[in-house]
Amino acid sequence: MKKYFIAIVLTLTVIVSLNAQPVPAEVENIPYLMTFGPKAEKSWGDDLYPQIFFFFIPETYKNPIFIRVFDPEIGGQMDEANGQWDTQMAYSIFGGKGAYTNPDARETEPKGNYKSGNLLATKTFGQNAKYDQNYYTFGPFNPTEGEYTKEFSGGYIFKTTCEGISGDDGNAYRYFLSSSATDNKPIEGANAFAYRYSFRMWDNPKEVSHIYPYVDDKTISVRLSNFDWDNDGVIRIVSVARKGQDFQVSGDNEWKTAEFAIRPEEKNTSLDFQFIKKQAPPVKNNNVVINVKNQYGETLRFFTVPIGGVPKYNYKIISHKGHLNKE
Amino acid sequence: MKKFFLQSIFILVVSILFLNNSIFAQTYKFQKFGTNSGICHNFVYSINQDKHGFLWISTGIGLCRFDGFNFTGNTKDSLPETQSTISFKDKSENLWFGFNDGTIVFYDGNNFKIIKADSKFASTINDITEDHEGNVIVASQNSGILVINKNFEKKPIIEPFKGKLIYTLALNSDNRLLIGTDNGIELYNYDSDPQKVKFLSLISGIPPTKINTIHKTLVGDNYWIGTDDAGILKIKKTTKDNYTLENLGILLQLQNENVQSVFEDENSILWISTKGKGLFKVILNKTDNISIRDYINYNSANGLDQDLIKSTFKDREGNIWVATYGNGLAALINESFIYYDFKNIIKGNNIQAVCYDKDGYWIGGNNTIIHIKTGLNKTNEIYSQSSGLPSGDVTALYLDKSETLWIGTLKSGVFQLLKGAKKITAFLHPDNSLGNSINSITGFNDIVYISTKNGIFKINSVTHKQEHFSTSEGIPPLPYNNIHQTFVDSKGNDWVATRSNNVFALNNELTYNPKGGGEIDFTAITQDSYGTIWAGTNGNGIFQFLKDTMNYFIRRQGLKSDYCYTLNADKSGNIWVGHQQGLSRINVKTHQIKIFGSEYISGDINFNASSQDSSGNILFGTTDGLVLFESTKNKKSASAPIPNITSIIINDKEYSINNKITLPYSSYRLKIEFIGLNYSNPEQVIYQYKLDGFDPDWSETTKNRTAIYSRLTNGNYKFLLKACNGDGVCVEMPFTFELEIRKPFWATWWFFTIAILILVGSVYYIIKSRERKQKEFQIYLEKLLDERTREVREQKEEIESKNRDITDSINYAQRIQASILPSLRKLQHIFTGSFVYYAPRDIVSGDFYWFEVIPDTSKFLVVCADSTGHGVPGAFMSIIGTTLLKDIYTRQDVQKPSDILHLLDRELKSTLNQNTEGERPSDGMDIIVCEIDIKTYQARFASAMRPFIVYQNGEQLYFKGSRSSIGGQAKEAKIFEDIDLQLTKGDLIYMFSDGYPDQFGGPMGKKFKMVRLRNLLKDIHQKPMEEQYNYVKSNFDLWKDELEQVDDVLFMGIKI
Repeated sequence: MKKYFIAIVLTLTVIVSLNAQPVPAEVENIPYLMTFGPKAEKSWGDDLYPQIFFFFIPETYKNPIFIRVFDPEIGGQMDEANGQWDTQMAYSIFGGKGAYTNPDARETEPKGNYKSGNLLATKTFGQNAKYDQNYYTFGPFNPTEGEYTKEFSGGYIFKTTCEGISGDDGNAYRYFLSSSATDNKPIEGANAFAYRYSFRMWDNPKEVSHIYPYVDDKTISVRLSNFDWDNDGVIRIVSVARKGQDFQVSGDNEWKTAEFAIRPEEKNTSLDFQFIKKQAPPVKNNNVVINVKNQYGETLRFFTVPIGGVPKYNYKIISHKGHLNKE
Repeated sequence: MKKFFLQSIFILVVSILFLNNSIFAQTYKFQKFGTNSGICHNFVYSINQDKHGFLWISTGIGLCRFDGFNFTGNTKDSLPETQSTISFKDKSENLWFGFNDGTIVFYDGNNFKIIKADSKFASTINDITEDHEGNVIVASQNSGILVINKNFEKKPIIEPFKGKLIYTLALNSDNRLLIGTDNGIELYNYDSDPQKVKFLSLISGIPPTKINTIHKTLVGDNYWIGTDDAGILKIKKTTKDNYTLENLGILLQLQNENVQSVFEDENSILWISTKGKGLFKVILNKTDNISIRDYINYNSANGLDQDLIKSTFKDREGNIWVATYGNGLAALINESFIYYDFKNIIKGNNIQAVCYDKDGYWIGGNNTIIHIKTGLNKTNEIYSQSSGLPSGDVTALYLDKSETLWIGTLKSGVFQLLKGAKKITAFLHPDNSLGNSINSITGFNDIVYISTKNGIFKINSVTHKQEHFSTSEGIPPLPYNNIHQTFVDSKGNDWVATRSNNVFALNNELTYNPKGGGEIDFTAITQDSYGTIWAGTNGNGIFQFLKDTMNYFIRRQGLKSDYCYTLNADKSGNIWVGHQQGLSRINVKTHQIKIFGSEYISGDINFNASSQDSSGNILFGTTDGLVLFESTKNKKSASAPIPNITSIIINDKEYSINNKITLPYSSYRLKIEFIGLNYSNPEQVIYQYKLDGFDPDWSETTKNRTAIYSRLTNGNYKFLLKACNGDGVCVEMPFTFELEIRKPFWATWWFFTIAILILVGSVYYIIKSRERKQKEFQIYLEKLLDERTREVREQKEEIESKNRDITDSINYAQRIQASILPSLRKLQHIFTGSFVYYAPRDIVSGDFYWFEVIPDTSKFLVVCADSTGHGVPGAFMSIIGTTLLKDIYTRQDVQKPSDILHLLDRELKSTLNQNTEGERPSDGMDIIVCEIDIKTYQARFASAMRPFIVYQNGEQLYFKGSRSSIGGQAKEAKIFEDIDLQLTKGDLIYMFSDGYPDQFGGPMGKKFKMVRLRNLLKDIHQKPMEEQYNYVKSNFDLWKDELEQVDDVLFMGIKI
């Protein structure tokens, strides 16, 4: 009990001290988010569902916020062409009631009313050199235009969707939640999370990317699903109670699922899913999709800034519990 | 020489900098209300004003009300505490608010009605308008439109707008809905029947972008269109469903900007709110209503402090309110003040000297003089040390008749810039350092007055002849050397403002002496349009010197401060007084004072740093830049404050102000907080109030917004409130509010009525009850009476029967008694004419008479006896007496009447057992025994207790008789004496019982008595015996009259 209490206190402490909203975050070491045009082949690495991210603004923050998109257009060096550039990508920002709480918005395969809430802004991009490796800024937004939640000590949540409207090219992009329209100025206490992650892996086999699903206290087991990993290495899971447990990744254009039990020490902490590329032969331009569900089939959130910090294997916890496990 | 010339040219070129207006910034004064000022939230979406004058602010966390002083959050708990996106005032001045959760709130000025969003209509309310029938049309971002009629019946129109995002809407005169979507404006046929609402067309030419606002133009059926990234457009109706497009945004360089809202006021001034470029005030040419005559862009760089503007609102007073996105509320209250920032040129932005000229004006500060030319395309000039200006502060500027600029400095004396010259030259440099410290410079015709800390230099600008006035020089000498100002009035009098006990003119003996006599530090002097001299002081307020009197204005009377640094008289009849962080404006006629505080003047106005041009505009040099008051833009606030009651607290309990308050009887403490809504200058509003029913008169004028009444008892009260704004414009009809404290229940009409009714009822009840009881009693009595009557009757009958029996018995006894009594004929036979009046009281009598001839003698015994008692007992006694007499008179031993009495006494006692011990009844009799010798008429009398009367020879003889009675008890031996009388023929003997003299009667109801009896006999004794009998009888009846006979009566008359 004491342990859980400490964990909760630590969690809240870290939430309050959160201080960065690049998406993907630095601690994730993911180069870009990826969304393809609807006519793309899934084997290119996207299951062709919209990429949905949620941004949390603490209640105490009272100034305008901006959601900036780096390289929102489809063209140029970052994006992945499939023949001629013919893709249009729509970015939308939602707030208000239902933006976050509508279950459709939290599915791993967003369908139905996933565009719930009030549409605050939307912009469609095609090939546009102006925004190639440059920022487009949505906002300003009044934080209270988000959907209010009592989670994380109270705050407002905005939802962004990135959806291919037409074409078959791949769109690589990043978000930044900022207090400035022109600069990336982090909002203290803010965070971002998603239920499904579609991103590009590094080409460099030395790079290790991470995502940090949060395990709440009702989670007993976790089912990890990954798509189109092209057998590029392994997924290693590290936590406060897990020194490193490897799972096999999917092959080309396929889903692979692995399930494992959550240890008591892991509840109310984040897991560290490390994507370790194989060293040879190197796989390049590898776009992947991942999601995590609990024993009930409910999706777990990936926080760009891991709740409780980046999890580290804790020898003391394991020793104390007396079931040291070698992975 | 050539080198020197070239150097000079170089110096000139580099020393005079030619500036354009961009070097110094013109700034505007906005009042700002962020969360620090109490506003609910810094994100403001919309502003509106209710019918009572309160401002309603739609913010990121709901509604917020503003009264000029305070912001109040949601006044009703059930109001949504979420983002209020839009407000709308309908034709009835009711307010409608939309929220981002789909809720709609209606407010009629007193009460809210909350129209909750249903699941189909839970999207953000982006716009509200009204149709031609008074129905309200609400635009929901994702759910179409909603028509709400006056009964608040909702009619959603969803189908035609399915899949559309609606951001704004308008209804044109042809009943066409203009729907602003995320892809331009669509035209729909409008009908309150949802089935008839049809899409018509997409208005062509409008970029496929999000439309933020559609605002009808003041003239024509045209609309201003605010877009998300295509600036502001204007669509003009050509035919019913066709519009042409004009792009105003290009003219304002807003063609790619986000225009959030557009508002065209009643003066055709366009207020454009942008998200990123601040607020634009655009004055259009009225010829085409699209080309721009002038515009101002208020933004973060020039005073608005914010470039994200959601909307603009103009209140009833004409103030412009700006809803900022993240920076709260801003208000452009007074545009007549324009602010210039010179901090890039003049150190500290401290403007210490100002002076108008025909091209513009001059300003001076540290090391710098700037000539600002107000005409078009004119270049401003800056003069610094390289132009010949000494280092240090420029404290005074004056342009003389020949357009030479006189420059006063803080430490270096006076310099001149001749007309057209580019080089500043030294003019006056007294030896005394105080003389080099210039306070002000002024002039009149050719004469220039330089006021220094060491007196006044009076200089002829043409001849350069100079005079010096100080405490030691000049006639008369000055009272003090530090001269703040010399002011030359319209008549050429040169007034001196310095520390003195009066204001005086330098050139003659004119003085104005403030009352009190002490020294006052006069700082500035001016003259109003009526020729009156005004003087400002350092710590003693303002004096107005009239011909015979003076007026005095200090802080207590409304002046901002008693410390005055500048004094100017404008052309509108006002005196402007400069203070630290503000101005006071005194109306010359009404003496009303209006303050322009730090919200207008952020710095301190410098000593004598003011100047006025021919148009009445006034420049003020302040420690925070230059302030220009443009008199043409100064409009008197014609809107009276709107009086309102903000709170009513009675005995520490707050009451609603919407309805009349009625309280039960008690003593109450009433606290009323009120306000006169005036947003231009709320602190200058003055109030008068009166509680009708309590206050005899209106209160004194006050700025206090609370009225307290400590003890209110029963009565009807009406609170009346008047308010006047800072310009003296007052509300015509006072605001009223009624309060009733009921009478105590015992003083109410109904209580009186009930009490009277109860009283009457009680009396009635008592009467009726008594009547009923009486009736019952009567019935009871009657019943009882009947019973008693019956009993009485029965008893009566019984008594009558018994009485009858008794009477019969007594009658019979009477017959017996009568038979015992001797026959009168026997008496009358012997004594002719004798009579016996025998009247028993009760049939039988205790009185009796007896007479008999004693056998064998000539003696005749006559007895008149009165037994004790009457009736039957008396009768018994009479029978006993008669019997005993009959026995006694024949006895041999009886010789005389006294013997008879002795024997009778003895025998009676014996008969009645009166001799026996223990049996001693007192019954007996009074008796007269008369023995008359018939032959000799010798009469012998013996009487026991009975008197008798004898007429002997016509003379009345009265004999009392023995004092002993017959029978009964006697302590002494009874003595009965015999009285012998020799009677003769004709003598009369009268014997009688006590029944006759003891009878009550006569006029006085008294006894007849013996005296009357003797007199009666005197009267009648000579009459015939029969007459005497009749007289005795009738006299008795007459005397007795109605009275009861008290005893048996026996009256015997014997005539010898």
